[in-house]
Amino acid sequence: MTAFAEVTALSAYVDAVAGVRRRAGAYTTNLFVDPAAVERWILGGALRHAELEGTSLFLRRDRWFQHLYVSAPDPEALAAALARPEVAREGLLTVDLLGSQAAAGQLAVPFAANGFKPYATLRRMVRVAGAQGASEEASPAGTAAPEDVDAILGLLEASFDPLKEQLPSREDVASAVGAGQVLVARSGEALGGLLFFETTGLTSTLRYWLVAPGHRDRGIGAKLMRDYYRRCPAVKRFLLWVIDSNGDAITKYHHYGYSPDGLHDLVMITEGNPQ
Amino acid sequence: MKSVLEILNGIRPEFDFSTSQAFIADGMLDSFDLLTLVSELEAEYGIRIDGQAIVPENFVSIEAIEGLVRKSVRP
Repeated sequence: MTAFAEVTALSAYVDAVAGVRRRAGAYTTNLFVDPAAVERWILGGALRHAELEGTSLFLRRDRWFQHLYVSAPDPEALAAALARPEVAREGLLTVDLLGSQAAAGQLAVPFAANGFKPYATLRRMVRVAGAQGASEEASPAGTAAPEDVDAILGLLEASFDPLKEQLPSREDVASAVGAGQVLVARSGEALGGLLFFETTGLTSTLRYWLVAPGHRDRGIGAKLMRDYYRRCPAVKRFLLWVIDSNGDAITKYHHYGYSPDGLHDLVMITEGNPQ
Repeated sequence: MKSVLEILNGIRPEFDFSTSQAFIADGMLDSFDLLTLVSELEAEYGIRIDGQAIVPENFVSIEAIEGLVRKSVRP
């Protein structure tokens, strides 16, 4: 028996969030989600909702676990909702808490009191177009083709921890490939590396950038990055999220002109074996 | 007192906010920027912006943000 019911329309999601906001004294949320993404989750039957203790809780199914999003009138109501057995019965949950380091730490209090443990911290980095960085001369990589979708997903799943990095579904990858937002470097039949991005108007987010094992130290990563910049001439702000403890990656991003902007994502998970 | 445009320029100096009527769709403000903007508007104008008013349509243009400021209450 579960309190969570499938969300079948975007309007139901919007109404649930707005209802909590109307009652809020100290509105508490980790819902910073693009409505288009919510619609994709609803269409895929991946989103469920429950209202417990005046708090809206949304669970999004992802591989072997679920992402938790909350919309609470205040931290006390959130803590009461998280303490309910209906939540504990849902298995492995992960939650992303966003804000300055201090704000994310404050948001974490009701979660820590209810069995969630810190799992990783990501920091956001930003690059303003024109900032000093690596050379941006054209060096085309190439956009991915529909037949690359499974190989792209396989590379992403082999390279990143989905509990930390919010990996895309197969449908998300196919959609990004269709939009020309996945660049690939080929090495014979194999993919030597990829760069997955998402552009909205003047802002572009670099979601994943990787070079496959066995293809490193050949300049593939640099080639992908240069091609990314070349394909985004109108973009003024480039963003990315990186694991705080990944010093090598942070050094590389600095090289390409990115610097931290003070926003953090504290990832917490419920107790138990992450995989 | 700073104008809304001056506050926006302080948050995202890389963009020209005077040329857009669709800040969200044009990628000039995201959800996280809205939180910063709300804090700065509240501090600058001595207002409290209601949680239910923090929706994208209230932040699409300078006129929309000025309207939000006018509707918000002084605590």
